[in-house]
Amino acid sequence: MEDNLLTVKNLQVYYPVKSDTIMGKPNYVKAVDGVTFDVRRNEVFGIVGESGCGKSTLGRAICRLEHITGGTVVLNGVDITNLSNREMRPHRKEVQMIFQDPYASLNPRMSIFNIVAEPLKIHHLADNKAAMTDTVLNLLRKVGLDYYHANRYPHEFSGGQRQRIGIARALAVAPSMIIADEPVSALDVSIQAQVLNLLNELKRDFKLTYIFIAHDLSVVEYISDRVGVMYLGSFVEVGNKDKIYNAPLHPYTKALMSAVPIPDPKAQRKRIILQGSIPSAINPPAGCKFHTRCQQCMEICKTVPPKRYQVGEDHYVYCHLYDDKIKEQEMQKTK
Amino acid sequence: MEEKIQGKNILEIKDLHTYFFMDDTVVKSVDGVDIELKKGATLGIVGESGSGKSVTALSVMGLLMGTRGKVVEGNILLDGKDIVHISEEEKRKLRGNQISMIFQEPMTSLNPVMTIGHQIMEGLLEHENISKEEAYNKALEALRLTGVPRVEKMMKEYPFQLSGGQRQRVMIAMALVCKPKILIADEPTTALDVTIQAQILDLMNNLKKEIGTSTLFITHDLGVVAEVCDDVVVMYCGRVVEKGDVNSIFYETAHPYTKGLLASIPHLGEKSQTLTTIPGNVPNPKYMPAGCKFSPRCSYATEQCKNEEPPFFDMGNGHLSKCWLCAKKGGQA
Repeated sequence: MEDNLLTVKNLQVYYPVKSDTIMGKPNYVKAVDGVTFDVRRNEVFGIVGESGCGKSTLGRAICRLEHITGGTVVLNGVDITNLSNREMRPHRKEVQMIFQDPYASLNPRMSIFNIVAEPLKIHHLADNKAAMTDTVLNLLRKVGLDYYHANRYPHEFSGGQRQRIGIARALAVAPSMIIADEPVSALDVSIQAQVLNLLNELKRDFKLTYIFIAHDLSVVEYISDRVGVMYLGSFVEVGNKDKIYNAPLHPYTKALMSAVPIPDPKAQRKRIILQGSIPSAINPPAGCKFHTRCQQCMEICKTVPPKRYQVGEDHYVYCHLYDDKIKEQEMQKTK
Repeated sequence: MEEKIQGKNILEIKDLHTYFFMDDTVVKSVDGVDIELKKGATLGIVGESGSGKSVTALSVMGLLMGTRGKVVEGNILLDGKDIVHISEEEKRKLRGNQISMIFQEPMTSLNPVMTIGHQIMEGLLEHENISKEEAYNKALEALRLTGVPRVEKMMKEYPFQLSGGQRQRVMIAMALVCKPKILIADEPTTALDVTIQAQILDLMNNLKKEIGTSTLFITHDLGVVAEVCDDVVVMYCGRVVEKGDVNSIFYETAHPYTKGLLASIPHLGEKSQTLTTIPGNVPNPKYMPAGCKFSPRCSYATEQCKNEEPPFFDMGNGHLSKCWLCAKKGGQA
């Protein structure tokens, strides 16, 4: 069997928006703009970035919930990029999603039993009613709920419990991969820890692979094996978690890491404060998209988008600073 | 530091009870809270959702009219003067002038059909007897203080033209323009991205040094508390469970709830297999447990905890904790 469960190559998701002039060319919001990465079996791939960087769109595009403009998504050896909805159906069992808002992602008029049983019905995974009941109650127990919860409705549950229901629903079809889009950001810290521990347990028990999307860097570090840092639709740095967190190389990753508040009053803080905010994705800056806020910006960054440079085993960075030739030229220019 | 400790309390909340009178029940959102804010200091109020931290802030602001909430008992002293039992007219004179507030949602707390300039000037024109021109200049100055670029242009712009971070800066300018005695910041950075949050925290720290505002900083993020607060109050179920200076709270944590909170956040750069969790949920305010409100979730709970609510025990240096365990550790009631 192949090592990679998922391979994403140069993925693009563009949304057309109104053009500036009536007859003009349509503008595009480049929500995801050339993203390449792969996810290995039984690992957790974390995607971090600030709001509007395209991390949710990326997650949804992998599930084919967004129209893919370009690039390829290969899941379990099958190219699912251009499959029709009908052809896609059997593959949907493979990837399931957990959504951010546990208040909006459960149908308020369905009982918990029906919510968790629905995917089983759609994919014809239960032979008879007894088997279905059995599976559903098992799933509820797995995520830390009780059998008597099955007949209740979503409004009777707290945020943390609802997120557990969402997890049970995702597990119902026995997927190999779960895409969790900000699964704990709507929860209080004490509940957040419960859900994170649950996700870790389930990963072990069901041999799951996760793509974990979040803006909270400490949460992503806690749960992930490998991490991709996104900025304005593209990755700026991808690789092994320890490398990204202990020795970040891209100026954006460095600033992002230094901005996280440390829960320790005596901690030494060397904070890099980025100026300004994220530019619009309609007209992203030319060259390296980060150059407008980068403190190490060079001439070349303003015009030429950086390539992917390998800087270590399983550690890639998209930044001209790590191209020796370019760096040398720049040094001479400044002299 | 020494001076601050001996310095006067600018705000004292004494035994505050704020209840909400619903159709069938009374929800005791704040049930006996004592908080002291020292002059020139930043006091963090920490707690999970529903712990009563925002209702405490609204009680101080006198912003409960129009809701079913009411301060039923207790005093709030601003500079020694009671501000609970005064007329609505007098409260109006305090709000925005002596006490101002920064709200959580910079997206929804600005008026969408008023220019930024007008919104900042509004408070000045209301409270101070000055001309429009003077107000404009003061507003411009306040906005400049918050570090936004192209200040003059922004005065004429509308909220939708600004980003989240810029709007929060405008909120800060509005709050500070009348030079209030105290500033209440209710989750001022929660809706912002980390890099923008870093900018705002930095700004608030600088403003504290420059104008010496005393701030009540409400947040659920212990990382933010560690960065900006001098003192901390931890709230649970409408009560203060632990308070003290920031170092005692983080390094000599006494209350099991605070310990649980600190243990359940993943730390950057630390490897751990499983996070410690606090089991269960915050109890429903309609069905509050007897005794210590945290006892059903506490792993150290004894029979005494389930029946008797603990008083504050002094752990030294003004560090108080409401837990029976602390009595055994030598705390003085």
